[in-house]
Amino acid sequence: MLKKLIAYDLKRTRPVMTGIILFTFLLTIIIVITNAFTNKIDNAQTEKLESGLIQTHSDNLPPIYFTMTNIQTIALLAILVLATLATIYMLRYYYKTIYLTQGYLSFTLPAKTTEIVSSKMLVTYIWALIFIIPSIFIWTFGYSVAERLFDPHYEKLSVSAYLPGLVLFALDILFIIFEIFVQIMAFFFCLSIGQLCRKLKLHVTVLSYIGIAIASMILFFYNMQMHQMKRGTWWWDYDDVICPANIICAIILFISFYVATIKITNKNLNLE
Amino acid sequence: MSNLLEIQGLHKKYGKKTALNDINLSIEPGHIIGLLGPNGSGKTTLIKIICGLLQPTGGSVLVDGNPVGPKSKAIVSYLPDRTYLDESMTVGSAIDMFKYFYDDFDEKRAEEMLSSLNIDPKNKIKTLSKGNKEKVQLILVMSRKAKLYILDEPIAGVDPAARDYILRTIISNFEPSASLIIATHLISDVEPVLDEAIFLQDGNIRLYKPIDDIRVENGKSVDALFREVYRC
Repeated sequence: MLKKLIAYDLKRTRPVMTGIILFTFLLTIIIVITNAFTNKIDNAQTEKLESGLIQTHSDNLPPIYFTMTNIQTIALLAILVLATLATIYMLRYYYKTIYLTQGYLSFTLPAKTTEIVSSKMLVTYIWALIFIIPSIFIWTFGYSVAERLFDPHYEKLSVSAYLPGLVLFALDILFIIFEIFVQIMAFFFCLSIGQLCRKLKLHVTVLSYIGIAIASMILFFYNMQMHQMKRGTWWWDYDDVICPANIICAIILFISFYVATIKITNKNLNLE
Repeated sequence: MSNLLEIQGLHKKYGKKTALNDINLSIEPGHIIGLLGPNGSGKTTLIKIICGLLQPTGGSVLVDGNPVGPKSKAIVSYLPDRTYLDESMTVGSAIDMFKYFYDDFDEKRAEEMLSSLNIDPKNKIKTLSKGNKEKVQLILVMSRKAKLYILDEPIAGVDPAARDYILRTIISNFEPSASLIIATHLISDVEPVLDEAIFLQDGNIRLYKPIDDIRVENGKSVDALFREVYRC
């Protein structure tokens, strides 16, 4: 039944999410194209000094450069707005189909409560992956191509020189995506916490999320700081952002929020 | 014949307030039962527990031998007392949804009933009148070949002509081997179709008897008895 629920939830949310995602891809392509222009103009103003440093003469940048930069900024802000809208839409879908009158329909389907709730969570993550991964790919690919085409000082690296950087970049992106997933799961958890209250449900939800977000940010930076201090003294000398402490904390938080959300929904569901 | 619904020692508390107190109930297949009681007597709480929307504090509920869960939900067709469909859906997509999730859903029956009401499946649910929304929901519920139908206030808030239609739809479409529970205040309207009546008060069952026995023993209709029992 879980597969059926996921297929149905994907179908219900497809019209809005497809629109948001396609618009995001369009904006990403605009950023890549404008970046290529600014790269070209930038690199035309550069010279390589005897010391090996690259100097840019920014006094001679034409007005079109600044127009392109502004377009990039606006497009980037628009992507952030779309990401926020997508998150709000999916959280609203989750809330309406679990905790409002549509919950009567959801929870009388011939499925376990765990399946019904998990389906909506999984669909949120599926859309998040469809939103993030292609955007990153377009961005990275576009930037690389622009650099290769327009940077006169571009030096082609060998695969062995290029690969570690690429692997680290991919791991960083995966970790950031997982952190986003943890925060979304925290949202689901806070929505279930809000339902435990008779009044001011949304207020409790928002306040509990703010508390969790602040606490998890403190934990994240504390772990990063501790790792920085340990650098070179122990086995993990890879990256501060994705240090073992942050990875373990993210996994524990994700599982804890998920289990707690399911338990609360199972025991305390009341659609009055 | 094994019982379709078996409830033993059912309790439900909300904090200090007892909503249901030691409910024991057995319902056989092939009966239409009125679940009657004033506001706050526990009717909706009992219904929600049977349908898996609430967890009881204690006791057990078996539907055709199954504890409340996916198997019991597959054989229970429930109509709540409010609009529970996504109003941005069309009537047609609501039918598709029921067909997708319920193996016992009879799409042809649903389409025939909609057609008799001149409701276009392409209409969005939010464009329908309150009465038509109720009818669409009822059609979806009664188009299932379930073993237990539970209707919570199916005729409240609609005009008398619509009530007649709803009651006719209920009687003509429910499976004879199934049972049907109707929770309602409008007893005089449903009494002609009931086989048995359950009177709930303050979370307790005060009375559970066949309608004919109630009339013979008390010398009055169930509606008149209800007014007497629950006089304010």
